[in-house]
Amino acid sequence: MKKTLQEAKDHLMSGISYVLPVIIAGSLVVAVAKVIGILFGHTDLDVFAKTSGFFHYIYLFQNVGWTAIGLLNMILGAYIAYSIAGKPALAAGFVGGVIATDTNAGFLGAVVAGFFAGWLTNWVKKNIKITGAASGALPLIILPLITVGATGILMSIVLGGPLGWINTSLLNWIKGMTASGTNSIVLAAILGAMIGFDLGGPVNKAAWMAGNALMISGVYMPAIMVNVAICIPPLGYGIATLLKKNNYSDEMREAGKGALIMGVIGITEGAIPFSLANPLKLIPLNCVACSVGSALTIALGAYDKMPPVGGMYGFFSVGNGWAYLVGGIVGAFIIAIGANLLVNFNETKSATAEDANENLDEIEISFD
Amino acid sequence: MKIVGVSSCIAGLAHTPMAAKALTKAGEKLGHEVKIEQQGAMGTIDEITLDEVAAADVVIIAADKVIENEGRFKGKPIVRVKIGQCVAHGEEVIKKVVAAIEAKNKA
Repeated sequence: MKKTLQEAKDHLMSGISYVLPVIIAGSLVVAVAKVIGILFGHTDLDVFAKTSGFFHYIYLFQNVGWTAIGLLNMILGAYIAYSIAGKPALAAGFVGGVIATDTNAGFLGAVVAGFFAGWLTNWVKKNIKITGAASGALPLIILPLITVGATGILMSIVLGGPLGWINTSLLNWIKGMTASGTNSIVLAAILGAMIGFDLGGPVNKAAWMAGNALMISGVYMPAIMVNVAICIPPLGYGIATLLKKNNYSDEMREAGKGALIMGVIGITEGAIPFSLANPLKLIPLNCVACSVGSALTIALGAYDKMPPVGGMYGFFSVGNGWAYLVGGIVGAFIIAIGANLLVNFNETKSATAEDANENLDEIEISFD
Repeated sequence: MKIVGVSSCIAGLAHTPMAAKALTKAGEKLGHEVKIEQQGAMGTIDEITLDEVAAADVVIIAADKVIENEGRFKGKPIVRVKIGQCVAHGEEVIKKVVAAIEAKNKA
């Protein structure tokens, strides 16, 4: 059971890894179009849908981004299926993902469709055998007919209604939560702490996935909370190396420059080399800083106006973008000042050598 | 010992190369021949060939998603490790894997 769950999680993560470039590309394109519009004083580009000339082109460009974002459920369904059963599962995954969008089953529906398409493909591969002259018909005719047909029936007729209802209710609940000030600050504090907890590990990815999954469904606030928190740890350690240079070896100072860049573009993992110096003190510090930074961003009134873009420069895609900047920078300084007070990074080399043998027991390896 | 492996994380830009580097470096230090294929955001880097698989004593898979083309490792001892632990403790991972394989070969 545990193994099946782990495998399912891996398939979901594979699907998400294919979705990621599409989300990022789509939200960036929309943001670029919106920013050009805003520079010329047009906050809503939809009014240019039927005009001609420059702003109509910008409107068309914005639609390119929305088209990319619109592909998400399809790609997610297809590549979860691909991860489970390879190429033969793609067709059913694509179709199931699109039906998930059409029936409002959204992200949830795409996940169900992907798993069903993948598992069904494996089942057909194993159980339906055609021998003799007609054996060539299986991969190109029989298998796609069964998998696409069954996935389609499941997603549109059987589950379309209920999944659509669950998804819509869930989205409304979270929308309601992010609409109320106190609840959304609490949510930001929790998501922020999760991002800071393991810097790219399972807890971080869970929060990050929640943000992205909701963004696919058009609920943007959680993604803003996650995006700002992601920038804080690497930015914080980057600033820390500048604030107190003699607290760091040359190597660490060099890593600090890299961390600054990773903070600006939003890669939490940039903070790993620093956090490893003394995880017991620094992981709680990371959690507090991300939590405070994210909550502060929301408390100061950041709101969603378009699909949010990650990284510190993502502030332009957030309503009251200054709140996003202030939240991120305050969080980063909590780490920068805290880390310099708590840990002497010069001494870390010898400390890790001593710990090495204890660590040996914590490492989990497993044979197939 | 000859070790090959694959590292792959979800976003494919930070953990993937960090884990590959940590394991390769640890291998050098401990005197093992390590080659890690990175399956990241830009596709496959340092691909493990079939000859390398055939020559290897063990395959390390450090991934938090399903990896591409796992079938080529069939028949080899495969060890799965959390990718985060490879980044933080490359040496310990290699030590532990080598010890496990040596114990297995003796038995």
